[in-house]
Amino acid sequence: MNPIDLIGVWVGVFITLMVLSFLYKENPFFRLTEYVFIGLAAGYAFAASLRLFIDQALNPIFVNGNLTFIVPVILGSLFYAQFTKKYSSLYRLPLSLAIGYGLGVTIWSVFATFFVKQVIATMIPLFTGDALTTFDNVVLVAGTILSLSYFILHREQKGVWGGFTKIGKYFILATLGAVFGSTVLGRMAIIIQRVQFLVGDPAFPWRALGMGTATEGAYAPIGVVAFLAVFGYYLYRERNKTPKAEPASKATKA
Amino acid sequence: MAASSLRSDPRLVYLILLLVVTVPVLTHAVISVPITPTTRALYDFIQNLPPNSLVVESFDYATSVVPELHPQAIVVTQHIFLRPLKVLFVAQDPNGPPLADAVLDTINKGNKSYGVDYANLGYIPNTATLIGMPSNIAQFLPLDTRGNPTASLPIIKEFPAAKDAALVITFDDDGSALYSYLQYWQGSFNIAVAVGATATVAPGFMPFYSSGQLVGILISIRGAAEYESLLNQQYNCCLGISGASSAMVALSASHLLIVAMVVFGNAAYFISRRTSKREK
Repeated sequence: MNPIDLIGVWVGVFITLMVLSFLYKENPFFRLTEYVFIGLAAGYAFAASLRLFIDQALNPIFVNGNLTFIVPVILGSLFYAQFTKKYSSLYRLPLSLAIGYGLGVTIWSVFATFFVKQVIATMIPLFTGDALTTFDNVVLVAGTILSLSYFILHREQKGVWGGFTKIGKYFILATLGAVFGSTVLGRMAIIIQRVQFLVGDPAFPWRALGMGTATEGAYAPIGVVAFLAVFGYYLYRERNKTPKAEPASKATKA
Repeated sequence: MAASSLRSDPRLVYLILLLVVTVPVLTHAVISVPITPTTRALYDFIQNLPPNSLVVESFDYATSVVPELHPQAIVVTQHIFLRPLKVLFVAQDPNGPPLADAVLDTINKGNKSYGVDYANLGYIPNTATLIGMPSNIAQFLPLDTRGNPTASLPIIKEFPAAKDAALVITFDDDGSALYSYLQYWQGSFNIAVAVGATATVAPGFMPFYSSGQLVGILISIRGAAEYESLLNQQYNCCLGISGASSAMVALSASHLLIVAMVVFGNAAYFISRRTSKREK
C-alpha cells in the first residue's frame, strides 16, 4: 500500500463530503472547498496559458530564432492597450483581425455543417416498405416542419395555423422532456461514482482517476467516518452556540 | 402529509436517493444492458477500420464530468489498443492532456509503444491550430506532453497531417469541440467523426447521427457500460475496466426513484388541488 495514495484518497473523501455537506446546510466546510476550487482552477488555467505562451510564442522566437512569431505576439499584446487611455484605440487592430478571421472561417463551415447537411437529412422518403421506418420518417419530417412553424412569428398563431404551431410546441416540449430525462442520467452517474468512491468500492476506477489502487481505496470509509465525526461536532457546536447580543443602536431603534 | 414534508425539507429526498444508490453499490449487483444502435455503430466502425489506420482521440472535458466521460474514454482507447491501429491524443480542454495520460495508465497497452503507435500531443489552444492540424500536425503542435519534438515521433513521420485520420472521436462535455471537428475536419477533409457525450448534451447530437455526420455516439456512463459489454463479447476481456458496468443497477434504481417521485409529486398536486377546490 502506498501511503501517499492513501492520503490522496482521504483528502478526496474529505473534499467530496465537504461539498456534499451543503445539502444539509450552508457551512464553512463547503465555503472552504468553494474557495479552494476557484483558486485551483484559476491557478491551473494561468499555468496552462503561460506554458502555452512559452511553448508556442517565446520558444520559437528565442530558441528556434523564428522571428515571424514576433508579429502575432505584438498583435496579441495590443489587446492590452485598452487598459491605457492614450493608446486604447490600438486594441481595435487585433480585434478586427480576429473578428474578420473568425467570421471568414466560420460562416461557410457553419452553413454547410449545421444547415445544408441537416436540411438534406430531412429530405427522406415518407413512405417506405417498412412500417417502422415510415413512422420514423413521418415523425422526423413533421416534427421538423411543425417545430420550425412555431418560430414563424409574423403571423398570429390562431385558427388552422395556430393548430399547426401548437403541435410544433408539443414536439419542442417532448424534446425538452428528453433533455431533462437525459440530464437526470448524467447527474445520477456522477452521484453513483461518488458513492462508489466513498464506500471504497473495488469497481471504482481508482487507477484511472489517479487515486492509487483498490487497496488504498478500501480505506476510504475511514475518511467518511472521520469527516462525519468532525461535521457532527461542528453541528453540535453550532446548536449550542449562544446567540450574539444585538448592537446597542439596533436595540435602541427596536 | 408525505408530500408536504418532502417539500418542506428536500433533505429527505437526498437521503432516500443516497440509500437507493448505496445499496446496489454495496451489494455489487450487476445487470446486462441492451446495446443502443449509436454505441453499436461506433464499435463496429472502429472494429472495421483497416489495420494501421490513424484514430485521433480528443479529450474535451473538464474534471466535473469525469464520471460520465472518463469510462467512455477508457473503453474506446482499450478497443483501439486491442486492434492494430495508431492513435493520437489531443485535447480542446486544458484538463484533457492529464486525463488522457490517466486513461493510458489504466488500459492494457499490449506491445504498443509510445511515439510509434500512440502519442499525447496535448492541448489545442485555439481554432487556428485546429484548422491547421489536418495539413501539418508538427507545425501547429510542435511538442508533445512529454516535451518531445512532435516532428521527431515515428507516428507523426507516418501521419504528418491529421487529414490522414480515419476517425476522430471527441469526448465532449458541451458540444463546442464536436461542432469544431464537424466544421473544420469533416467539412473540409471528410474525416469521420464520433462523439462520447454527457447525457445532458447527447440529445442535441442525435440530428448529426441521423444525418450521417456522426458515425456513432456514446451516451454517458451507460454508453461506456454497453461498450464494455461489446468488448467482453468479442475479446473476452475488459469487463469492469471502466467501472461503468458496476454502476448500472444503481443507475436503474435511481431512475426508478425519480420516476416514482415525479408521479408521486404530480398525484399529490392534483389531490391537494381537488381538496382545496372542495373546501372553497
